Amino acid sequence: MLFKKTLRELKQNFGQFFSLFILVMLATSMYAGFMADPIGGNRAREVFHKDSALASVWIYGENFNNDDLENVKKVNFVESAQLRTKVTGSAVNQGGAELDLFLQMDNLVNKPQTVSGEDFNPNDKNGIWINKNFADEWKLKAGDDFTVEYGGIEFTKTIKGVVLSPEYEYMCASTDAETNFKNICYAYVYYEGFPVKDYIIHLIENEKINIEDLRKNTDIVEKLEEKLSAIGLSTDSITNDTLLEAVKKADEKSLFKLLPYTQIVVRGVDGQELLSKESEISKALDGDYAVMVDSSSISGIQRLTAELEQHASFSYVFMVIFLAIAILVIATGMSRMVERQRTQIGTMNAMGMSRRKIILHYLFFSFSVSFIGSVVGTVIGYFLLGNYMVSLFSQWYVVPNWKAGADWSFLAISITIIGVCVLASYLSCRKVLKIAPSEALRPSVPKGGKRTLLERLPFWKKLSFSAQYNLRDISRYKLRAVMAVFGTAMGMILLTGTLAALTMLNDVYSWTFEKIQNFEYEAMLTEDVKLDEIDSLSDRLSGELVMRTGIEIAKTEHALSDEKSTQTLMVIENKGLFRITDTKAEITDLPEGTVAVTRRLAEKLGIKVGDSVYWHIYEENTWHSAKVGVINRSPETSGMTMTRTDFEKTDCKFTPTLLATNDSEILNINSKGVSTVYNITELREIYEENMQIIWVLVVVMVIFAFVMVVAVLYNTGNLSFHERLREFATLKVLGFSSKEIRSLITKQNIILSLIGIVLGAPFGKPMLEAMMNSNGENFDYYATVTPQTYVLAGAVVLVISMAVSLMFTKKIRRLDMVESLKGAE
Amino acid sequence: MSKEIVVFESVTKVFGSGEGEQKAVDNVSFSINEGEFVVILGQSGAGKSTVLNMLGGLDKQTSGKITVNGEELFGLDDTKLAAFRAKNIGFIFQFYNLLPSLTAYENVALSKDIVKNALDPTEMLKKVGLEKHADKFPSQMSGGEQQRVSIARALAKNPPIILGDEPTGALDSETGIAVLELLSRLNKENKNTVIIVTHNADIARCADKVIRMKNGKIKEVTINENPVSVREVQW
Repeated sequence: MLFKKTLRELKQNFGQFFSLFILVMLATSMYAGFMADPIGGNRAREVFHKDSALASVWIYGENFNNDDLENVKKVNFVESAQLRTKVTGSAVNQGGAELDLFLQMDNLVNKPQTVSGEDFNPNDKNGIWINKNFADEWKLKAGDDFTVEYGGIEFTKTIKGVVLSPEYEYMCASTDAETNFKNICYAYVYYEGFPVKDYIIHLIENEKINIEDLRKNTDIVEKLEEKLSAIGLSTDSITNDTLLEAVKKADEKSLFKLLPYTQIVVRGVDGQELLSKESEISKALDGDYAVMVDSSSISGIQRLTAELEQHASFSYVFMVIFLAIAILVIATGMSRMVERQRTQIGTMNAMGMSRRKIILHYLFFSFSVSFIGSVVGTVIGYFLLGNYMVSLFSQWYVVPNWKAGADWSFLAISITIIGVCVLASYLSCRKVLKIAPSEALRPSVPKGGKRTLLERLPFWKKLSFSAQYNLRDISRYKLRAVMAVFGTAMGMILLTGTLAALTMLNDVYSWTFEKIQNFEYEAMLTEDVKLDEIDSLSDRLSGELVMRTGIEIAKTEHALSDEKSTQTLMVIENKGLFRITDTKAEITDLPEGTVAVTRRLAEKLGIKVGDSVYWHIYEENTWHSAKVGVINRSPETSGMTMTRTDFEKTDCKFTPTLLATNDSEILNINSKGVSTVYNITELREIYEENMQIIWVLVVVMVIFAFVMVVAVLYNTGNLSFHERLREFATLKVLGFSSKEIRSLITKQNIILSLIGIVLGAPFGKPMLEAMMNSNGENFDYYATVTPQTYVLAGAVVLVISMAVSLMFTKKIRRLDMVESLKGAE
Repeated sequence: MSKEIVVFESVTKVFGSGEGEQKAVDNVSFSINEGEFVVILGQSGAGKSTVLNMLGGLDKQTSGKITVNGEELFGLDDTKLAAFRAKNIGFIFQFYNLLPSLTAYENVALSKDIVKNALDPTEMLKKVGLEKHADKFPSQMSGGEQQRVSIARALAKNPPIILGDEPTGALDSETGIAVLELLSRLNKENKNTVIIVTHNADIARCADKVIRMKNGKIKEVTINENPVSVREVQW
């Protein structure tokens, strides 16, 4: 019978329990929705990384050889290791798309996973293995020819397989603001399959290397000198032509010394981390390497790790917000319910029903509702939101078999949520449930009104009856008021944050495309670009050359691993096309002789203007120092910016990666050093397209905020209505109209909503910034919440508040004055 | 000679403490035999409801000894008191105290959730003449009907003692008499001990025993050698 009682009372108190259901459902759906993709993603990645034998550390250096490799392999905990060289070229027949080309002799670590065609064969001289997304975009398949441009030479190989690599779970061409698989490719070829002879010839022809470079790395010059000496000639007699002739006749293998291995990828036993063993590996290499990093410094891996961590943190934050409100709903709702049913409790107790049974009966309300809410929320979260998130983020990240996933935490969170709801219910009921049955059988004494602090204020007497009445009521039922304020404050935070997100996206757009990038065209430059040629081209087009490269940076000289940070170095010419912005995102100058360090990096390293920083180019071993002149801010790039003049003073070679210009003539340039030219308008369009997806998320968040505010305010109004039923009936008897009584509820809702709006408004901005910047240290978005955003968010909350009050119109009109004033229940 | 089913020995009940202390029942002793129809009579504040509550295990005495159906109540914890009530006591309240979300039948059947050997709810409703109202909710019934459901509910547990706290207090005279008649009949037919608390002296005329209380004390205990029939009572 108690079950029937429960069902009927659930129906009678539908509004209250439906609010609870909605909030629990939102809490669990948020958790499941935001967790489904990291769980599924991490599972798929685990398999992917294991199958690919993902490296534990990446060691970068200028020149590694087989001895280095063997020494590293001997280190304890090392399962396998492999040499390789990565060069960046372009895909000639695919619009000059950026191409990361791996040259390797083994396939032991970071093994590309075959999607179609053959597995990667590190002894196949004619084959090339390219990545799936690029192959899909350009409709390439095994058997097709694929032409690569690198270092000024072009060579064609046959695609033997289409592959995926975990090092490229995230990838983005350096010209793109967002991932566009059409513009970025990676490929694997057999190291000795690389046309090294053509390459060296090209370098000699273009004076990129000279006789000394050849002498240092090969025996070609020595042999040539021997021959010349035999006929009485000296080294001075060696011309470019004789050198080229000698290279053409030379054994190809000996030339590979001019294309040395620059990476050793090392896998620990069972994939265990190895960075903590750096000293042992360093000893094996005699310290002769530039940098050793783990996957957290590989942007293709780290970016997705950060993204998934961000989703996981969202899942907890949103779950806690909705759960907190659900607890308030339960606390207020259940305490009112048991208070209203105290005579029933006394009766059941008097009949001999045990207290335990009665308690369980009341706990069953919140248990059943939170149970159903959890199940529905988890199912909706997992199947709808989770799958949507996976499909959404699969547009940017590549992980085979990435599906929405679920784990024990779904059950644990559901049990926790149900447990918390039941506990909140118990805590709010126990006072009444503990009353002696004889006392419970008597109706409770109505809660007395008492003077509020406001009443001591001089304007109190000038307030209208309804204002005074509502303020006293709020003071009597504080928990209910807290719930309304908290709920609307949370709604305000979500609405302010999400509406501000739209402003932020526009800000980032103008920040990127108007302030930092003050140009209309950017030309991607190849690695073999001749500096004097590109300089003259740049001058002709009134352009600016920019170099972008990876560096390690630290606050102190000879910093230890954990004191260094892997960052990006931007070298600019200070010509006003590629600019830096200060911490307020306003354009600022970079004084000569100093460098600019991005805000988050400066905070991380604890540096300020005037301090010195120490840095070195990723693949180079020499450290340099620089004085910080500006703390700058960039939406998606973290690191250091310096001028070309200062950079060249360090003796590092300026190798520009892009040419920025406003001159459309660049579109007609057919220069050897220029691989691709982008019109910024196209990049803007791509950015805008990607922002459409963010719009969907914004709409979802606005809906959630809307539902939450409705649920909370309806519940508050409902409680308020029932708690003041007798008072309203009395007022009606006294001659108050239904409209006037409804306005009492409306006014109270508005007062509480206004307090919630004021309290919640300041937190929308930090919430948004925290959400956006939790995506990794590269990100440093700022949110501007305009007065219009505050007004709009506040207006939405107020409109909901008033609309919710209208829901009580019917109830007030139907209020039975006689019944309400008669019984205790 | 009938067995003593209720024995109060020097029972005192004090509410509050210090200056706010109030002696609701002061050194009360009496006994009630099995199968008796007893009326505890007194004005408001006389302590009669407190006596009834202690007797029914709803409240605990401050001092003295209460024995009901051979069981001493002092010292029983909440769970044991609930079990005691489930087994021994059927309550009838002034305002019926039916659960509003349950039908008449379900209110009676609630006893099944409390005791294993509860009687058939339909039979109980038949006994109080409400079998046709089984599906009605309390709000759809008159006060008299609700009180009869309340009696059926009390009977469903088949308790040896039925306690009524002003069971006719909220009813008009005619309905009140009908309810009393029903209780009297049950007392005679089922041999339940019926103990009613009331301030209505007329009702006392039909009781086997009348315990008069005033200011927390027993003023007198009278035995009606010839109780009148309920129909002869009027108020």
